Amino acid sequence: MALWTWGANSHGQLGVGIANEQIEKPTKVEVHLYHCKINQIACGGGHTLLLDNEGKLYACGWNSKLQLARETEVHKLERTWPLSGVTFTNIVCGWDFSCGVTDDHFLIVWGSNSYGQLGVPTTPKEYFSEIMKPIRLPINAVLVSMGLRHTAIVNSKGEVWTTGCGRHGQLGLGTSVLSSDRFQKVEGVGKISHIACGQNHTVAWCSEERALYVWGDNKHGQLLLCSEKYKKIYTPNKIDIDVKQKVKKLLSGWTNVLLWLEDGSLLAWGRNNNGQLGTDKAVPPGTFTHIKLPEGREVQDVAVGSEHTICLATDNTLWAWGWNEHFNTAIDLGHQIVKPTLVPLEIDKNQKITQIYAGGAQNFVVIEE
Amino acid sequence: MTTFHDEIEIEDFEYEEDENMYYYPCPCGDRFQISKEELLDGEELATCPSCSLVVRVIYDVEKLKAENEEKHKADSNREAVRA
Repeated sequence: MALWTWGANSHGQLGVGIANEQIEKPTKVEVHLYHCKINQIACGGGHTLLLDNEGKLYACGWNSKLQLARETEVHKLERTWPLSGVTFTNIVCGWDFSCGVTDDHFLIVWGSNSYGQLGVPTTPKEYFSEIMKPIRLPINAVLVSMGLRHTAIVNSKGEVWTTGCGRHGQLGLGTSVLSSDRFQKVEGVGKISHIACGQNHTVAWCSEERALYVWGDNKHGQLLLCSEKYKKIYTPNKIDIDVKQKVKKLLSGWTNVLLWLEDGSLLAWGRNNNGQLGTDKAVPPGTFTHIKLPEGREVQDVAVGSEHTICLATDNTLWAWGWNEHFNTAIDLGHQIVKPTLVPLEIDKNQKITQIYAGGAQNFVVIEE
Repeated sequence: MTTFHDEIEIEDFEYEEDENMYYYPCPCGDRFQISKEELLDGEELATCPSCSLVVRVIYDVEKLKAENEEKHKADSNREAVRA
């Protein structure tokens, strides 16, 4: 099993041992996993978390807000020994904050709590720091998503609870709750099965109703609503997009959203100034586009960064599009990649890409023999 | 003409008092930054040290000047009391 990475590396978030502007070519990451395998990777703005198959955590990158759950910044993925007694089943990164779900159904949060995004009190200031060491919350989170400054969880009943910055409506708690430092229940949504937080918005999917629920900032049409009519939405708005399929993944970049359906189709909407929607054609706010891989290839997996997307095809080829200033796509074709383009990965025929991850402007792929 | 990555209200910036700097996250992983002094001079473009992106700060320069003077007054009053 080998781990490869590329993209922005200003804080050493790629784990290659240095911090520099960017790593342009997919590069192998040396990581000592104590005979374990990689189960999951989560990418924040400038930091990265890795979870092994025994539920142990590793971290590297920016640590200004203790988002690594350790004392010092590291540029290689290292075990987070302060949490070595904990077994995680899921890890999630926000911009400069992080969390993990434990095997005994607790939520452990750490990093920046400047906006209450960890669901931990922020006042009185003399008792609560804006920078939090890991703290265990009695919250049974089946799903978690973290955005720039807010967090949304879905519990076993399918309810959505949010905390953090709500200036743009991203908490969905109405116009009177523009910030929160505890998780509060979002009213007016169906039983939610998928959730994704962006820069200043939240999108959720209800499998039972086959409906999308959206709230927050819609400046770039990220809520799939006309941006002139709806600038910001403070409570969930239900949208029927006439999808008869099951949803495999609902993902969000900063201002773009991607819905991957069971039949393999990729629906995308929101901002497209850097090719985030995989097309050079205009996609008017309130409408979505279908992203298609070349020559009828089928989607095996997809991952979304702040303004770029990587997509694994079933024929073991990797495709990417979107913002490319830091070689976010690893493709040497300028600052914007406006359609799905092949990522130059030098792998043998007997090697298979088994996992892909993106977040911020960085990427990780796991390759197995 | 410069194209902005976005227009961000000053209320969305994080102000670091020790440095007199305003910060907002950049999608590259670094942060857009602009000093209070620059804002008081009417400069409204916050730049990112790691990439080419620029955001325009939405703010009221007169209001910021008034707040700044108010703060100076409060600080010097405190100094006076201490003296």
